[in-house]
Amino acid sequence: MEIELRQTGNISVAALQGEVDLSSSPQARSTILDCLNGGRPLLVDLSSVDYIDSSGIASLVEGFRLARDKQLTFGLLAVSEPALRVLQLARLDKVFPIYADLDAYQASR
Amino acid sequence: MQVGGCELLHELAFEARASALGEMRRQVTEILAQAGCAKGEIQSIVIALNEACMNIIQHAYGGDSSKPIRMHIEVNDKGVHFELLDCAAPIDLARVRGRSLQDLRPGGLGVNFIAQLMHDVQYSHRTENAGNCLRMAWKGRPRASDA
Repeated sequence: MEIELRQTGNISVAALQGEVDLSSSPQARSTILDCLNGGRPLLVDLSSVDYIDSSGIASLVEGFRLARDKQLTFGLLAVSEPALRVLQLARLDKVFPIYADLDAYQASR
Repeated sequence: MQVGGCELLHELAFEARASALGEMRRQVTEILAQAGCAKGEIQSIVIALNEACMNIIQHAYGGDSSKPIRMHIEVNDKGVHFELLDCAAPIDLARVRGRSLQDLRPGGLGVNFIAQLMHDVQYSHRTENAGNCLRMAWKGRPRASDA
């Protein structure tokens, strides 16, 4: 798994790429929580995620809850089909804000 | 492995560590593709097997990566049958259950995923050797097993 973190306007975008599984999800979790603990709103781009397991989903849930506590924006961008499948299994596809792309996020503001 | 009839048997063995799961997923994907399973079916089965292996790594073995996991895969005209074996201390079978998905918290999703994706899910203790056994099936008809 690789993570690209970039700043777009006033929001950070963490793009996860590859397989987010038990061996790589600690890195995803750390990136997500560090960003939010730094007070930055965050979108997690899942467009290039080939596989995500429940440990990866747990990292997203932790991010969602931390952002809610800190009253920061947290959402998912361009969720790939394999990632959406797992979010649906966890019934989280209706919980996380999901945007088709950054333009869709900005239009929703 | 019996190829001539309607049955294919495979056995995988790997250490109970997170870094072994990617190779397990690739091997299972290859086996199921060769057996004629469709892409979506393979994705579902691989999700369930990965979660089952994660549970062994994290809960049954408690992170002891020196211990083995064995996986048996049988493909026949009724579907694909899996057996996952560990040699950990017997787990409390009554505690193997999914949690409410209404409860928004990290963790505890693996059993839910397995229950949603697979059929005939049975957890048991191994009788001949110490350890636990998870049997589950995907009931479909792989094209390669058509008579």
